[in-house]
Amino acid sequence: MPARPAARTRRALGDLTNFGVALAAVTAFVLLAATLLRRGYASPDFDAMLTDDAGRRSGGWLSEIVLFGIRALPDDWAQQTALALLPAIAAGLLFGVLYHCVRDSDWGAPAALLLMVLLGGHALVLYAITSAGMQIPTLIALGALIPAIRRLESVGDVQADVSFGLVLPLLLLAGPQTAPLILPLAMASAIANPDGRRDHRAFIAMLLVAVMPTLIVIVGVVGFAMQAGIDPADLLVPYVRAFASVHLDGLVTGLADMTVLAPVAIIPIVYCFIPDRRRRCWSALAVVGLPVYLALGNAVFPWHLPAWVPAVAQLSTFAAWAAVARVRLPLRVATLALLAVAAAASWALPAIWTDTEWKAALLSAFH
Amino acid sequence: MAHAVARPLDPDKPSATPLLRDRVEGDAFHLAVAKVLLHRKKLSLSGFAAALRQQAETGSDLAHIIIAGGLVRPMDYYKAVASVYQLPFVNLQLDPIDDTLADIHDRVDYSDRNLIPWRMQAGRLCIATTSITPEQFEWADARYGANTYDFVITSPFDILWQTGKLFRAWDTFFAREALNSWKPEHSAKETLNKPQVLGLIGILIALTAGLVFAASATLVTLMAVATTIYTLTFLFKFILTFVGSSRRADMQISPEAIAEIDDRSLPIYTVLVPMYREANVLALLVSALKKLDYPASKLEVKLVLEEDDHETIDVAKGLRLPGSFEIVRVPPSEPRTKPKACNYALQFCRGEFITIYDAEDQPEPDQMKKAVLAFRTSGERLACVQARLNYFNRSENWLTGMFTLEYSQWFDFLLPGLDWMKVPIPLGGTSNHFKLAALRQVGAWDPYNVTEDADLGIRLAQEGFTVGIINSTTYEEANGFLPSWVYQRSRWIKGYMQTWLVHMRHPVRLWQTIGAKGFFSFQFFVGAPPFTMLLAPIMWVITALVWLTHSYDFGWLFPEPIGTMALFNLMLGNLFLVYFGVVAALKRRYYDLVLPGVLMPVYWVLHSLASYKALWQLIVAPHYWEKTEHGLSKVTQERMQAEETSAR
Repeated sequence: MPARPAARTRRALGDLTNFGVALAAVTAFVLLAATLLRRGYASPDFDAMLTDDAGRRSGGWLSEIVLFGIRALPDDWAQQTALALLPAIAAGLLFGVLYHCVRDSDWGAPAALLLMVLLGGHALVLYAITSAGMQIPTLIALGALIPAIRRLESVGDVQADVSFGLVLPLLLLAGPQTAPLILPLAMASAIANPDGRRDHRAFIAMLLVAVMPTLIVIVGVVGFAMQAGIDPADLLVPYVRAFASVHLDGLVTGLADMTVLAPVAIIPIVYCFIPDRRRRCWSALAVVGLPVYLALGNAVFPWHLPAWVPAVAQLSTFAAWAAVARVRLPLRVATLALLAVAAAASWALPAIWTDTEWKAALLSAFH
Repeated sequence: MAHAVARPLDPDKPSATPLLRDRVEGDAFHLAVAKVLLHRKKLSLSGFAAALRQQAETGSDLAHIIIAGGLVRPMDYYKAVASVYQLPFVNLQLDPIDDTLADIHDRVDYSDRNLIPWRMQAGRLCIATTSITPEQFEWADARYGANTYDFVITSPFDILWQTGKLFRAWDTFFAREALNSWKPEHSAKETLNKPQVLGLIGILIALTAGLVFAASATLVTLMAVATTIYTLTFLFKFILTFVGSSRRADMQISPEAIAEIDDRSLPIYTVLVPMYREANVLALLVSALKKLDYPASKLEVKLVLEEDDHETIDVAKGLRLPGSFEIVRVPPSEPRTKPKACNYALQFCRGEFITIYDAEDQPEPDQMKKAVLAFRTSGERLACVQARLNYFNRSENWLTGMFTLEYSQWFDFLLPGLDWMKVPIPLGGTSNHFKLAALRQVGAWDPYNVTEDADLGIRLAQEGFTVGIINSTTYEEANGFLPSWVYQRSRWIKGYMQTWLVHMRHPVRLWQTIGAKGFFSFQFFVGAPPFTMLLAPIMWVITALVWLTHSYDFGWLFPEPIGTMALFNLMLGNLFLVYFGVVAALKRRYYDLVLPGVLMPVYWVLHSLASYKALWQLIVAPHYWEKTEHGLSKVTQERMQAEETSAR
């Protein structure tokens, strides 16, 4: 009906080009994962997840949910294969969605394709997709937060409130390191609401709406754990362990890695300084702030995240932001240039190749 | 030029002026009538000036403006009309028609054209009418032949009264049986048709046999089916709430668009207000309807009252209602339901659009203009627009708070969600605005269905029409008294059961007419809720036995993956349903309801209670209408007092 608010014309998600990009990405990632499997590469993460209950022990409930299904498969080979292919397929599909969204955010087709290639060609992105199952939930959770924050800022309807509330439990499910973000973010959303600033009842209401899904998910996790015969008290162990001690180790290195491997962080910062009617700064700052939080937390608390995780988290939040924010042409060009540099650096810098077997298995495929 | 001669009633008196057959009642005619009224001191000069101004603004004829504005009594106006025509005026209540002259086939014409054959005078037929136009001549020529009849003048109220009296039996029969005669498969007169009865017997036999010969497997199967329905219903509600929470799901008609409407272009709009024993809130209703931003001269308000409800009729008469109000007295007959009353009144309606309000409704003033705009800017097939309903007494007690949350979710999230998904929308009880022609085309309301509104929404979809939701709200009185709430709710649940049973008589046809998406949404929106409400107490008992006593093992009842699904429903599903209920407060900024909303599961217990009452009634008294008493709220009572004070 014309009486509905006029929405700008959007490209359909089922568009053939999106499908083509998704198909190409899925094919590439699956081939890569299959190659690694064929070359006998065994990801330490996959082994830990399948044999050692690593997901549960580390509080990675999202991983546990996926593993719940995978463990139903008949043998080790099937489970290993599923665990290797699932992230590859999911990442390929996400690339299709990302392509659709950046095209919707005014990126031209060649630039959008180049963005996909540069992101997909980043060594750490490939590593995360093919071998780092334990870290994927963290990357997804942080990436999902950006569109939710952006929607709160730009649309501000009830769907934005609900979406934000529904994304917050991902921070809990991803692991103990992201769980502390939930309450501050929920409070920030309540304060960001104009009514929330004026009326204490509105503040409480908005806070409740933001935090309730997380509380529900906590109840669900406890319920399912009890059903599985796990003592609810054991569920707290990963959280206690993650914050049991404080030290300061490797912060500068972590930040330096981020700067070199994901220099695109500069783009949202510059974006915040360019006057524009449609500028939304909080989501732009979150693009940088969330990975920095990871790097800082990893340096201060015994999280034991691999050093490359904050950098890939940076790429994840940036990609999510690029999907929903409209940036001007110079910034888009700068984004591509910086990503090209980062992708090249990711293959060139030896510091990141802690998993030499992965690199060897991958490179042997090309020999 | 052809003409008819209006013959006097008294044959001894000379004949009146010839009436021109092609004369159109223009401004000059109405001015002449106004002059007579001024001369007779029935109309004041200032009133006349105001009427002229309104005429310029609204494009209505002076007759409607003068009468609707209460400037002149209808009877006096039409006596003046008779004077201008130089014809006799007849009061049909004092000089009723000769019944033998009326023809049942012309029943609709009598109402639509405001005429009726009155009596034979000196071998010629006298037709009582409110105006004489070329169309009247045409109509009369076609039936009685040229130059065989004369006209006399009467008032529209006399014609309404006379047609009502004359066709009382027919109108009552029509109100009760029209749909059932036309499409018996769409009527809830029979709760179950023969194949359904056989199917039910078959299921019961299979169930009994299963329980006798394979109890465990049967119970597991039943539980698996129930759990799956629960899960799918939850997912459907999740999707609807999420989609409906978007601003894009709301059809926005801006104040600017309303301001741009030229009142002269507005059509006649009929407002039906079915009431029964609600004399106490009548004054409030009249006050609310007077506040509507719609030219009074283009409004046709019909208070649909039961003939034996003398108290309400007397109060309505005593209110000295404006001329745009009419009282339609519904003869007593079974079933005594609101839809039957509406069907009865429908036969007297002349508007291009029609809407229904309940007695205690307080619609937003621009609602009808929004509806007109929605109809004008949408496709031909849009037959109905539903305004949102909400409550004005949400803070009165916990029950009214929960009720408000529930309505907010229903009308602000779920229905816009259905609208967005382009699936059939079960209409809400009031404030649904119809194209009158489309409403008649689908057979109007089912008098045997106690949620006739929900049923009508599905039938409209089946006939290829669409329904929209507009951003206008009608505020109602939330039922804040538990017994009364249970009565009302049991009727609603019973109605949903009826509606589901009616439309599932031919599931394949239903699928074909509303599509797969519509079919499944019908199952989860209309069919599943009563089922889950009935089932909920059984699930609660099982949960309580397992968790509280620790002495029962029901694990065998939930093999995987049913066990996981059941746990999901119990913990995540239910809690997320509470969440959706709480979120419902946000669109209207009812922040005070968010915290109490956490107690929604208690409210669900009441639903289950009502659902068992509904099921019982579906079996023993399917068409019994549990009357909701209005006017009990403190807010309503304060308003009534204020109204009384201002009236004094």
